[in-house]
Amino acid sequence: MSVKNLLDGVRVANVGVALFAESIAAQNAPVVQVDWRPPAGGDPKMIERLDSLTACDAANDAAIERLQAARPVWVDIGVAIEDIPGMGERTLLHAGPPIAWERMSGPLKGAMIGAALLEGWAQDAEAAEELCASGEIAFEPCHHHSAVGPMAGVVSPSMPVSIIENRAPAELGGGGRAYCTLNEGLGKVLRYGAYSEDVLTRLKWMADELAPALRAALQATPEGLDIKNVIARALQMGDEAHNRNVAATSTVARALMPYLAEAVNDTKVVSRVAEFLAGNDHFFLNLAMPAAKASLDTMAGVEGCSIVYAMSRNGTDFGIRVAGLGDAWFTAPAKHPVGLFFPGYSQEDANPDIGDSAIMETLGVGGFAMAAAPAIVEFVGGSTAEAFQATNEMYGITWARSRDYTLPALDFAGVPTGVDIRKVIETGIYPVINTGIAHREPGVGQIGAGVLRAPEAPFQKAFKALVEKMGG
Amino acid sequence: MALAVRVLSGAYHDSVKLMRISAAASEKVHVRGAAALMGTPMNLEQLAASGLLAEEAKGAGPNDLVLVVDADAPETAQEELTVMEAALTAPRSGGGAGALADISAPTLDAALGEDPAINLALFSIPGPSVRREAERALSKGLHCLIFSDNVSIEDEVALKRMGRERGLLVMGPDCGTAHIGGVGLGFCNVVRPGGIGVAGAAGTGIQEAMAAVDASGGGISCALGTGGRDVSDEVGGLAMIQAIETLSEDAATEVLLVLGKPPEPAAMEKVLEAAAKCAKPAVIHFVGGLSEDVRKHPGLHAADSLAEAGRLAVSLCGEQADATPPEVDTDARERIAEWSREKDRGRRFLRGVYTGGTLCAEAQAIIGKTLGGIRSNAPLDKSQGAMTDPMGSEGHAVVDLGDDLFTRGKPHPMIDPAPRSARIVQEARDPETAVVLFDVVLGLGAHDDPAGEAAKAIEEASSPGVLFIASVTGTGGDPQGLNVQRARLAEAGALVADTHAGACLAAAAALEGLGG
Repeated sequence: MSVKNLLDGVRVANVGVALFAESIAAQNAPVVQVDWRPPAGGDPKMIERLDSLTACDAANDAAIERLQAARPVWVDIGVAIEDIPGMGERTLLHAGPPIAWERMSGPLKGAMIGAALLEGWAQDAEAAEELCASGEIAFEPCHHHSAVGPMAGVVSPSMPVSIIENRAPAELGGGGRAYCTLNEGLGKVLRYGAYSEDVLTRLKWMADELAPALRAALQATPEGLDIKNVIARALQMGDEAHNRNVAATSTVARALMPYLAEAVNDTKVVSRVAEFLAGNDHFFLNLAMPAAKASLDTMAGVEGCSIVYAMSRNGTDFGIRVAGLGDAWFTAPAKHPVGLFFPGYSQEDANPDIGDSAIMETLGVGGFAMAAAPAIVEFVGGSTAEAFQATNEMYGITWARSRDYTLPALDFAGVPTGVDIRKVIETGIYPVINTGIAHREPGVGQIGAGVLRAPEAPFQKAFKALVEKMGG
Repeated sequence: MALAVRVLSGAYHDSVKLMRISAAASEKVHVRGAAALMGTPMNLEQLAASGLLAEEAKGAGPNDLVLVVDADAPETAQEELTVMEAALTAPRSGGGAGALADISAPTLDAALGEDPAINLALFSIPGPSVRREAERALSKGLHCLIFSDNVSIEDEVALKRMGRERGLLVMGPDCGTAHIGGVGLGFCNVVRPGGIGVAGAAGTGIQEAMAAVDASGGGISCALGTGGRDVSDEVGGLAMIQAIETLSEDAATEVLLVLGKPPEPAAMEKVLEAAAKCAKPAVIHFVGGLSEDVRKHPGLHAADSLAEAGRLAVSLCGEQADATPPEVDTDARERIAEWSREKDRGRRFLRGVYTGGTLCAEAQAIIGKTLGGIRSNAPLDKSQGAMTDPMGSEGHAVVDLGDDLFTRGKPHPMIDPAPRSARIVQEARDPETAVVLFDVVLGLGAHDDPAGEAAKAIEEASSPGVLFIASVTGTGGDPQGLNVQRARLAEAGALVADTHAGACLAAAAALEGLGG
């Protein structure tokens, strides 16, 4: 056939005037309307640069295969100083790209003060603040230590940390590990910069009782807890795995409970652990995040790959890392999330965007999977149509659809996964990120939750760097 | 019994979805039993009970997805496993684009993610942007229909060469009409299926000929557009030749109908050669072209108008086509004679007001035989310059309002007839205008009531001395309704011909001897 696969029937992508798509649909023929906009805002120089990066295609295919194959499993609970690679004695890890004490925002400073108090490095907040400012403490990003942390993301040496291992075949990047603290719950918590006595007391209990109990339960399971499986199931149950984690947390509790009861003899302890899990909808977030990190890190360093493997904020700066650009950060000032606030608080009280939790969007869930979570569509405007639209838009900037994370409301379409900076530059569409909102002052804690778009500059800087690297 | 099993570690899918996949596999005749389930102890027991617990599945855990097939042969079992695995991620919807059908895709890539079976991209974006997008579409294996104009000829040649190399058809740029697999694309009439395959370098030309085919009881296998410039020497009929080859291989096509504005000489020869090579009868009609050139080639048939080309194709198709009706019937002649007696002496010029480019060309070709010196913004004879002021007519003039000149930044007049209505009024109020000739094109993509808009213009002009002559290009199946549209024009006082050629001949008859 001189022209193949045409005369038997057409399935049309209508690029441009919507009228033609309507007319095709009226004939009951399959058609997808494409909202075309001029690439890179019609800037010929940028288009030329975009077209110079075709070599990224093959690299992205290879990298996304590693991401798709990742199988993050919760294998153990350890202690930061013993298990996190490169963790120093007087080190505090924080969320986001690197930042010095002077530039830290209120909640991040609050979390550092709290951590110093927890470690017993200072007797009171004032002394802790002085110590932090003295330069005696090393502040380093979680991301530089195979770790992630929500909001302030603070990790201090004595904290218990979950260990997630990627059980994919080694040739697909398997074997890597990622670490994260245990989630404290909502309200006044350290990760939002609160450090009052009750916050510290809870943290001590978590280290002394919760972590050992969960560890015993985990060790009683045949092969740990498959977090990929839990995320996949939770997406079928109304979670988007960032701002809504109730289904996943319940699933984890259900899976662990028989082993917990088996492994821990003291029924009071079992009861307190169970109660803690029951009262903390976001417990799972601190498992989902390292699972996402362990999955995404398999792409880091794939030569020529234009896919983002980390998006993160420290409350002052927003930064991204791109697989083909090694461990460099590309940053810009963090924006303010627009959100819904707890009684007594408003937009004016909000701190700029903070936390490593945008690792969930980097994976393709959270804001990217809004179509999975009709219960929280208020964050994106209030209707499921808007939630669908948020997910739909992200298909415009991602390299693939996830094989395992699927959206029942979209006929089990895979979530948009693997943000390609070329597509971001071409479409002018920026990642949508769901997030909790911290109070701008240290010590207050969480005041709401909301949504925002990633800032443009980090993507533009990374794009420029990629063009230079690939051209050179 | 051949049992085959595949265990997918860490792949989670909802059990209801898995049941659907199991059921779909089990229904096949060569399959005795099939299951898709998570490897929980209970599920494995169930497999064992139904004799489907293959050795490899015994080690599966609750986080492993197990696919099992028991078929009549090992190969069929393996094949079915592959089908089941593909079904895990395949888009569910057969007909449309799934749950996002009502939401636009942000990019072509995203659309392909939504429906990986898309095989045609239709572009109506600014011309200079077309090449990059169409190249991407071609590289992904999509045929292209480019409605956009203002695409450079270099881009057109590059795209068509790229398409040809890949076995993909590039229709356009400036291709307004196609009909493929029973689906009308762009501006297209609703026609019954049949044995006539159209290859056309002329949008409204395809429509006029298809309408004639329909009126004569014939049907269409498909209609492929190429864009008017395809038959220039520079493009060399790349798409036209590909379209002719495609139609000659198409089992549903019995007769070829090849249409266009006059090709340049070298392209013309190539097109005629390609058509002559085809084992099927072919009707070739180039508006204003020479029938002798066509008839030199054995097996090729020529016609004098678009409508006649359509009718000829029907008769070659073995259908009993209606005998060629008189183009200007007795009633029309009487009407013209009566108008001529009463009309003002100063009214002596023809003014054609067109929405269809090929129809505007056909008007020049047909009326030009009896009436000299017709000017146009789109002259059929390129050696003749375009009219000096396209916004205001002088002497005999026909304007194509679909020309770039009029459409820049505006919808085509077939979609929004307002500019055409204004021009009808303008011409009718010119005291030198004798006849206002215009086309009304129906079908998918066109305005809901184009005849109604034209009729309103006639009424608004209120120029009793002017003879309005109209043709309606359409079929009984068109959403606007052919008879309703004709009746509306007649009610406004227009003389409505059965075909566009008929309208032109009526205009020629009315103007003959007026000494314009």
